[in-house]
Amino acid sequence: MAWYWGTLILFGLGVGLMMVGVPVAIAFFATNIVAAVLFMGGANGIVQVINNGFGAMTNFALVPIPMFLLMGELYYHTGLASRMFNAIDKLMGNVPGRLAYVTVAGGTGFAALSGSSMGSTALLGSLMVPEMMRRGYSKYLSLGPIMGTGGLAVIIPPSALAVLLATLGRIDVGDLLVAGVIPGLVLSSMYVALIFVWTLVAPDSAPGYAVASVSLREKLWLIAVDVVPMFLVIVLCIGAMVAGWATPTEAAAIGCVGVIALAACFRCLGWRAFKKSLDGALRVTVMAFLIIFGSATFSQILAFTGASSGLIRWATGFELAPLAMLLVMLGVILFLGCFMDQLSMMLLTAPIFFPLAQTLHFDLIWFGLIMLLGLEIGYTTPPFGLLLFVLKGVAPRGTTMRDIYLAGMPFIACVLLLITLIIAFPPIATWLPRISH
Amino acid sequence: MKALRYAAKGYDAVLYGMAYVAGFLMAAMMTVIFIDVVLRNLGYQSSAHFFTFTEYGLLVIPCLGAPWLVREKGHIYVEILLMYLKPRWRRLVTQAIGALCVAVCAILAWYASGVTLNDLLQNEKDVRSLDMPRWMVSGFIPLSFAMMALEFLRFLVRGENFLAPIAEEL
Repeated sequence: MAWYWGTLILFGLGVGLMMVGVPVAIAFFATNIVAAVLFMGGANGIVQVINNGFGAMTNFALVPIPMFLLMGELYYHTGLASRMFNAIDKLMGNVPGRLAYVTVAGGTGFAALSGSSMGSTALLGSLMVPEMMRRGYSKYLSLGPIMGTGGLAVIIPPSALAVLLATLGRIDVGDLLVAGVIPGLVLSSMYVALIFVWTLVAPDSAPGYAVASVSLREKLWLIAVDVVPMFLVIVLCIGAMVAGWATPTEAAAIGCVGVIALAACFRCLGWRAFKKSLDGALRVTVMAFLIIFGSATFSQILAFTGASSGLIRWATGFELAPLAMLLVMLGVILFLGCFMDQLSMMLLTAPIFFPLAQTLHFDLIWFGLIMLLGLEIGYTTPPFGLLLFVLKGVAPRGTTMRDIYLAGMPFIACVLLLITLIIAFPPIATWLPRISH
Repeated sequence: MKALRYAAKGYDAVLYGMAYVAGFLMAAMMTVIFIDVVLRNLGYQSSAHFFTFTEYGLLVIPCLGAPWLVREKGHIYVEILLMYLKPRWRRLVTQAIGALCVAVCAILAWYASGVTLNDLLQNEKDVRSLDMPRWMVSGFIPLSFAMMALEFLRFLVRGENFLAPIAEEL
């Protein structure tokens, strides 16, 4: 069978089943079963699916996924996140659009500590949107920064998605995590600049209001007690990796213990919070791992049928410039991002895109980061970006999906601008991993 | 009838018990890795079994938690088609999807049982820091898929939707 038939059957069936509404993990398994019967010798092929899953799951490189998820859930359920938000809120002072800045600053911190875009958006949405609406902020300025900063969790380490992408692309997990630091900070600075221009051009979108003044001493106290310790956990996490005390996979568990120790110091670590955190982390872990179970065979069948090499030969046969190829790949991710969740997109595209990027002699860390940014945009693109629905769930009544779609647009533009910058100046992504070696 | 009710209660206890064990294993994994790193950096020889325990945990945790996730309607799915269907058609398509889920899980449970049985009869070992009888780990796979199939079937028989509610409006 020609490679394109294999490709058509694999992708057609997988994407078709997902679009119909079959749970993503089951869609992968169903595709694997059909492909195993067609291409891998029937029953033996299905046995191979099981054995591949066994091998793929018992892999130490996957440890950061449950650990980072647990870390974020602990940070949220113990109330440490709210504590940091309140501190930043008081520290911000009386600037136009202060609540939008609080969202970006607090959201960046939460993204760094949680590694979960959906958790970040849910927290920011329920905390900040009602307050901003009450203060007369325009609905677009109330909703937009939340989706923007929610997506930051994809690139700012620790990020569970980055670990998974690095595993799929067979690149260094630590390098990809560290590569996200500078672009993440650049992106949150862009958001700050956007809000500044926004409030300058349309001052009515963020009416000023009197804020209780906070003395310098109080401010210093807030920084020392409620902000610095939270960031120490990130420093501990990244520092342990860079100093060589722990591997990137182990650093995730250290971050978890760090958050637990912090919560214990603040006397907010209860059994209830711990149980809720385990519950939340377990849900996403099980979901992600079931998809990984299926994906091991999916990429093997892609290779076995010649679909991977055929697609790469076909794509490179056009002799497009590497930049044009990169844009095509990014376009595919952005298109899929309108309909699919990040995990499924990654598992469908990584087995093809990474070998293709290697053929084109791209720096794979640089490429991985661009892919992550593409995935981040997919969180907020209509009609089915996951964050749109998370925000809809926590936004006040009367907020329509159209409001949410429009509010996210300027922030999507910022991510696209960042991607352009990274393409033009690769050291934005590659400098930090290089010096950390 | 009474026996059936007890059986159902027992089954629920097993399902939620498995999820509790999965949560416990996740916390244990964190503790074990932390201890391993601390011991290593203090210059002590830590156990290689820590590593093996963690790797097996990565397979066992999702296997134990998967049936519970079906019960909790925690599976992600794409709403694009279902959202636009009329209620009657939506119900029909959802039932068809449910039947597919049962079939897929049952097929995988069947073949995974074969793999586990073969591992047991052939005395297969998974060689890591210790020679682990492979069936002791691979056995979680058929258990998980069989219970997932049962859970999907349970929703189908009761006429309930096994997918999380669709967002209200576009």
